Formats: sequence, C-alpha cells, structure tokens
Amino acid sequence: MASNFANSLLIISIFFSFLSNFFFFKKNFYLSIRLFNISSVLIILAFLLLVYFFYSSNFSIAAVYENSHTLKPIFYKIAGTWGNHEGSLLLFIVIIAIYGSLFSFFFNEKENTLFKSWVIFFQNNFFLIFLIFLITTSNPFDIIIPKPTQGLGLNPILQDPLLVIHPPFLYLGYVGFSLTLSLVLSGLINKNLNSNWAIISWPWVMIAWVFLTIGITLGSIWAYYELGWGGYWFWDPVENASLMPWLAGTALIHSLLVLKLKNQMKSWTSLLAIITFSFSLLGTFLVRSGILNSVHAFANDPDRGIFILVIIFIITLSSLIIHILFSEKNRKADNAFLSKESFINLNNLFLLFFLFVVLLGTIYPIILSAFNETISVGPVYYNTILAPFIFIFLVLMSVGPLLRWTTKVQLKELYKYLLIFIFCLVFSLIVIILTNRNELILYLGIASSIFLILCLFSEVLKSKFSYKFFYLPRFFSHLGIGIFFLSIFLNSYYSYTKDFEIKINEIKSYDNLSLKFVNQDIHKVDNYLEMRTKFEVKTGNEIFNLKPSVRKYFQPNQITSETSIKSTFLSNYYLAINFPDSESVSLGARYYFNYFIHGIWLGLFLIIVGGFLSVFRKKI
Amino acid sequence: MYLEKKYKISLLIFFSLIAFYFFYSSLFKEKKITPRAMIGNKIPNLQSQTLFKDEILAFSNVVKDEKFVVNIFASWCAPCKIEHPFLMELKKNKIKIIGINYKDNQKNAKAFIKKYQNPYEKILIDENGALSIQLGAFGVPETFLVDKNFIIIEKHIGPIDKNFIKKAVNLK
Amino acid sequence: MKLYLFIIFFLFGSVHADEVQDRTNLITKNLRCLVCEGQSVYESNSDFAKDIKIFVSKKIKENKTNEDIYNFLTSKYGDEILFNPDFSKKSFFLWLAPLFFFVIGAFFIFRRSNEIK
Repeated sequence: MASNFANSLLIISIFFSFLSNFFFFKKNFYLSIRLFNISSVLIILAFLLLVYFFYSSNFSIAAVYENSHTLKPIFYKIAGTWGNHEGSLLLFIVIIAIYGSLFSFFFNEKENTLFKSWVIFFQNNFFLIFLIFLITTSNPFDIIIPKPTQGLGLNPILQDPLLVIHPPFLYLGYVGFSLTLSLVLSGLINKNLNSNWAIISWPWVMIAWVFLTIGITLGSIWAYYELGWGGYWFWDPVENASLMPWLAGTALIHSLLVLKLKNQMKSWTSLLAIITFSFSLLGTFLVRSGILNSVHAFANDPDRGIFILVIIFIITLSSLIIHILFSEKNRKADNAFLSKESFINLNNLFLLFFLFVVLLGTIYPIILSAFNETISVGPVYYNTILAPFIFIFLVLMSVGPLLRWTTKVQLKELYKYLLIFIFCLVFSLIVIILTNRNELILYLGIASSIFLILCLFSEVLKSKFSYKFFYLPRFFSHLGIGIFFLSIFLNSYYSYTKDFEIKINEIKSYDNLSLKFVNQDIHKVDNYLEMRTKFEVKTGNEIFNLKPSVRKYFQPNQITSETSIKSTFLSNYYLAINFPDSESVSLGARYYFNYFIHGIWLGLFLIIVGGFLSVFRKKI
Repeated sequence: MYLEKKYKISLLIFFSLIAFYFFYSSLFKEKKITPRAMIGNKIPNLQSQTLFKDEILAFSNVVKDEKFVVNIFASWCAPCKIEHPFLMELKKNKIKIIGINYKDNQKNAKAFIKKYQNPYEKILIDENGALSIQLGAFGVPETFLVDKNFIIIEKHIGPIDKNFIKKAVNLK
Repeated sequence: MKLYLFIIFFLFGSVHADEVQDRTNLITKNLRCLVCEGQSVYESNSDFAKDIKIFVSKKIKENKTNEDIYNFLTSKYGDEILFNPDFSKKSFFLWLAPLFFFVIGAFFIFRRSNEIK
C-alpha cells in the first residue's frame, strides 16, 4: 500500500540518520555525511509522495481526508500538503534536510572536512529530532479505514495563491537558520569561528534571512488583499512569531559582517545565531501548541506542545552550553564610541530591545494566566512602546554607516549630515502644517525616515556614482527600511475608513466621497456560492467602480469577504462587504482609503533586493 | 562581572527549568478565554416579553427565593439540541429554568419548543442580544446556575453536561 | 417654518449619526472579540461582535462616557475584553520591563571594562 511505502521511507530515513551519527562518532566523516544525504533524499521522496496523495485526493490518508476535497482546484489540492499541521511539519523537516545537503554539496574544501562534518552532524540531529517527533505524534501518512469517499475540505481562507507560497518561504527562512546554528556550533567546537568562517557562512545566513523577509512580506500582502480588514499587520501572535527570529536574524547578519571584516563580535555572532534559531522554534511552538489565540493557530494540541517544548529546550540549552564552554576568551576591543563597530553594537541593542518588546507582548497573557489573571495585549501597546525607539533607531541607522571602522570619525565630516537633519526637521514641520495635523509621532516619523533616505542618497552622490559593490546591498536594504517606515507613518495617519449599511440603489455621501450601491447578483462557482456587488464611487475628481463580493463555502461551511481595490500610484481605495442577515435588505460595508500603501510594499521589496544582492558577494 | 563557566552553566540551567515549567504549566490551562467575570456577582434581574404569552416578565416574577437556571438558546443553534435532554433532566429534578431566546425568529422558536418539549418555566425574548450582554454571555448555548439570592454560582459555555446537573442539584 | 426646522434637525441628526458611528468605531477597535481568534469587535462580524457594536452605539446615544462603557463591559466580561492594556497593577510590568531591559542592555554592552571577557 502506498502509505506503507511512505511510512517505510520515513523509518529508513530515521535509520540512516542514526547511522550517520554512529559513523560520525566512529570518526568516519565521509560516510556520516553521505548517510545524512541519503536520509535527506528519502525524506524528500516521502514529501513528494504526500504531495501526490493530495493531488490525487487519496482520502485513505487521514491528513488528506481532513484537509482536502475533490471539488478543490488542483493548485490548492497540492497546496493542501502544507496547509495542515502534519504536512507542514514534514515540509519543515525537508527544509532542514535540503539546507544540510546543499551545504554538503557546495562546501568542498578538503582541508575543512572536520568542520564540515560537524556542521552536518548538528544539522542531522536537528533533522532527526523533528523526524522522531513527526513519526510519533504527527505522522502525515496515518490511514483511515474504511477509506472515505470525500474529504472535509480545506479552509477557504487558505485558498489563495499568495497564501499557498507564504509558508514555504517562511520555512525556507526560519528553518534555514538551523544551518546557521549548525555552522556556529561547528565553528565553536573547532575553534575556528573567525572571519574565514564568516565568509563561508555568509551566503547561507543571508539566504535564510532573505527568505524569511519574503515570507513575512507575503503574509502581510495576503492579509491586506484578502482578509478585508484594511491592514497589513495586526501584531497577531503568529505574525509576532515570525518577526522575532527576523529581528534576531537582522542583528545576526550585522554582527556577522563585523566578524567577516574585522574578526570581531564572535560572541555576539554565536549568541545571536542561537537566539535566532531558538525563536524560530519558539514561533513553531506558539503556533502549534494552542497556547495562544490566533487566526493562524494550527494544531491546538497540548501533547504535541509538550514535545515541541522539550525539543526547544534541548536544542537551545545545549547550544548555549556549547557557547559557554567553547567561546573564545576575547579581549574587549578598543573601539571608539563613534565608530562603526560601536554603532553595530547599538544596532544589536535596539533590535534585541524590539525583540524583547514583541516577545513580552506576545507571552504576557500567558504569564498573567499563571496568576489567574487575564489581559489582552493589542496594537496600541506595541506602537506606543516602539515608536520613540524607532525614531532614534532610524537616525542611528543613518549615521552609523557614515562612521569609520574602529577609529573615531572626524566630526567635521558629519556637519553636512547635521544640516540634512535640520532640513528634515523643517521639512516635516512644513508637511504637518500644510496637511493640518498635529501629531508628534507623525512629525518625528516623517523626519527620521526622510533623514535616513537623504543620508543614503548623499552617500551615493559623495561616492560620485562609482560602482562600489559593497554599498549596493546596504543601499537598497536601508533605503527600503526608510521608505517602509515613511510609508507606515503616512499610511497610519492619512488613511481613513467609513462604515455604513446600504440598500440597493442607495447613495451614501460624506465629505468629498460618495458611494452608490448599483447592483448585486449571485453565482455558484466550484465550491462556493458568491454574491457579487457593484458600487459606484466618487471621490475627489475620480469616479470608478468597486466590486466587492462575499463567498459562502460549502465544505467547510464558511463565509469570506473578497475585497475590491482600486489602486492609484501611491494609494488604494478599498471596499469590503458583509454577508447580509437574512432578515435585512441592507448590506454592511466598510470603505477604506489607504494612503501610501504601495510605499510599504516598495520598501519591503527593496529590503529583499538588498539582501538578495549580498548573498553572492564574495569580495569585501 | 566575570563568572566561571560552570557557574554560568548552572545559572542557565536554573533559569531554563523555571522557563520550562512556566510554559509547561500554561499549556494545560484552559485555552479558551472563558470570562469568569460574572461568577460570584448578582445576576441582573432581566425582563422582557415572553415567547408564548403576551406579557412582560422579569426573573423575579418567575422565581421566588429558590435556586434556578438561566439558559440562553436559539432554534438555529445545533448544540442547543444536544443539550436539550440535560435541560429536561434539570426540570425533572424540579429546578426551574428560565430560557432566553437569543436572536431568534419567534415562529421558529415556538416550533423548536413544540418539537423538543419545553424544559423552561418561562422564555424571555432577547431580540438583539442586549439581554445576553447584560449577562456577560457571548454565544449559544450558555447556561447560568443561580442561587436563591440571585448570585451566579456557575456559568457554563456550550452544551451542559452531567457535571453541571450535579452542581445544580447539590446547590442548596 | 416647520419644514425649515425639520431640515435643520435632520441635518444635525445625520451629523450626529456620523459621530456616533465614529465613536462606536473607536471604542469597538479597543474591544476584543471574545469568540474570534484575535480580532477586535470592530473587525469581526460574529454575532457576539455585532451585539456589542449595537450595545455600544446604544450607550453612546444614551450619553454614556467611554469610561462608563468600558467599565460596564469589563464588569461583565473581565479585563480581557479590553484589547489594549492600560496602565494598571496588572500591566505595569508589561510597560516598564522593556525600559529596564534597554537600560540594562545598554549598560552591559557599553561598559568600558578592561577585563578579559
């Protein structure tokens, strides 16, 4: 039977993984690496088999039965593979395997076989521990007897192309940091955590970081275009779970840079690598154990939660112990305060601070529940605490790269930037006054993000456009951050929402805006019933139509709202409707004007471009 | 502050155990936010039009100096059908149940009662959910056990079970 | 004359309706939907959320203050219905701990010690 074959693939894979460890301890490194790769191939085959089961709607497999349906379009049937706990866990393991095997394939320095085999050793054990977890608690190949004729269907909210690729990218990101940790632990044990090591590790760390950034961006884009709540980030626990490793990962790549160029910040690098992967695992735990409430929460199962918790503690604790035992005694470097190294320290401080805030906000309800109290921590908390630090962070980020390595910068070199800073303060003030606002946060936000952007461009001008590849990745990423934050502040303060109930042919009028409910009709499509509507919108000098709809899915019974969006260059007009109560003839609707929303996507895109450009850089 | 390695490690293990214990114990706490805010408080003396007779009654018109149960239900609510036998058992134990018909169509509600038998002493209509908010309820079915001094002893979210019946019977 | 007065009152009424809606939005954005997975009452379309929205509108029209409304709802549903933590005994750690973290972190990172790490 097919599933027996799949199960045997899993078991043989575990067997080879154990063998790999065995030969590693016997110091037969060549063999231990080969065995890991075999394990790897087997698990990839198992995964492909699972994809096939979903594709062919094989309902004898429990995971397929619970998450799929014959009426589902092919693309989403395949995506169903990772749209559930067991399947996504298998994907998780596959990615650990792929990163390990790719490293094994690309890293061929004969003189470093010992180092390489230690890396594979650690990677293999991450692989093994999760595979054991999978087989014992979450086997995607569990069978149902007798075989059902129809499945329970996939959640309709997950039937979206963006959402299909969002988990794989996220996993390629934060699971990719498993290799980073393996590299670090190997470097520690072999006492060669130095700039050569950093050069070797750099592409692997950057790729994981880039994928994680892409994954988070896709999730945000999906939330905005699909959920109909007009927003792109909700400080939802699962969103936070992906943001935390990202923050640690960003601190990590900056420390790695210093290690690469100056052979310093070894302790930071290894500690941050541990923190990054631990938070990746913690995120996994938070999502799957049911300990938190979230739109995303997958398997709400305390027993699985315990297992994951134990895994996290084993991995984190042993890594930290290795770090303590093997960290080199490093003489504290004598860097001036106004130097690049010093500012990267500041950068780490700020990023870890942000991480701490997000962590605290996310688990605070859990902490309080231990005292039998309840609380909700909503966006206002995060926005309030983070805002002042973000302004300072943006300014430091603008100044840092202008400093020199190690030695204090000549202050006169900085005068120009002081002028630019003053200009930004004035410029922002003018914007605020002209647009009739009075919010301090908006003022500081515009000033600090424009400062970052201008400093970057002034650097480019200063280098007289000479092609210095070194600057390009940072230029794009930091520019992306500047545009991102500028857009966030503008979007936050200059957007507006209107809620209303409207009957057919009725017109709702507001200041400079009118909406007319023109028509509606009902269609049956694939696996849902859809009510489509048309609204005529007049705002400013524009007249256009928006066509939001609501869908009622059959299997499972769920209602989703499909937003209708009209884009301008910078912004969006966005309309979402609710399924009407059977008793009333009027429809509930929500209209958003989202100002500068495209700037947010542009910023994120540039960050990704910058990261991507730096992956393959060989030279300093 | 320079710590010897073994002290660092023991400190680390110590804090890890605390953190582990903390996460472990919170895994098993009740996950759903079940508002316990009303328990121990006096139940508001709600009044509304009744379902079957054209009259307006308050809780105090229905029960006098005795323990009682308040049950929020609706004809369109599937779990309400599941808990129905348990409600009948409460009635058999001579415990008065006041029904709150939540956001329902009167015709459907009456048909529901006729079909499944009536465990309720009286049924109050909650047309737009206002009464339920007064009770701090957030869905159907939801049931309250109230003592003779109008103090809420227990609140049960979802269909009631044998445990609830036992509590109700044992309450003085 | 009567028509004129009627129009005036009608206009005031509509403006007022807008304000009620705005205030309802403001309040319901700060209320957590207790049957949803992390949405605010404003964002949710569940029965519970709808009931709360109607309730809040009604109380606003009765000239209740925001604080009255929040107090009433927390007495019925507990503090967790408030989406955003205010500064109270329960949450002071939440607000203060990050600041401590920052200060202590800065201290550790930037101490000018000559000790060998």
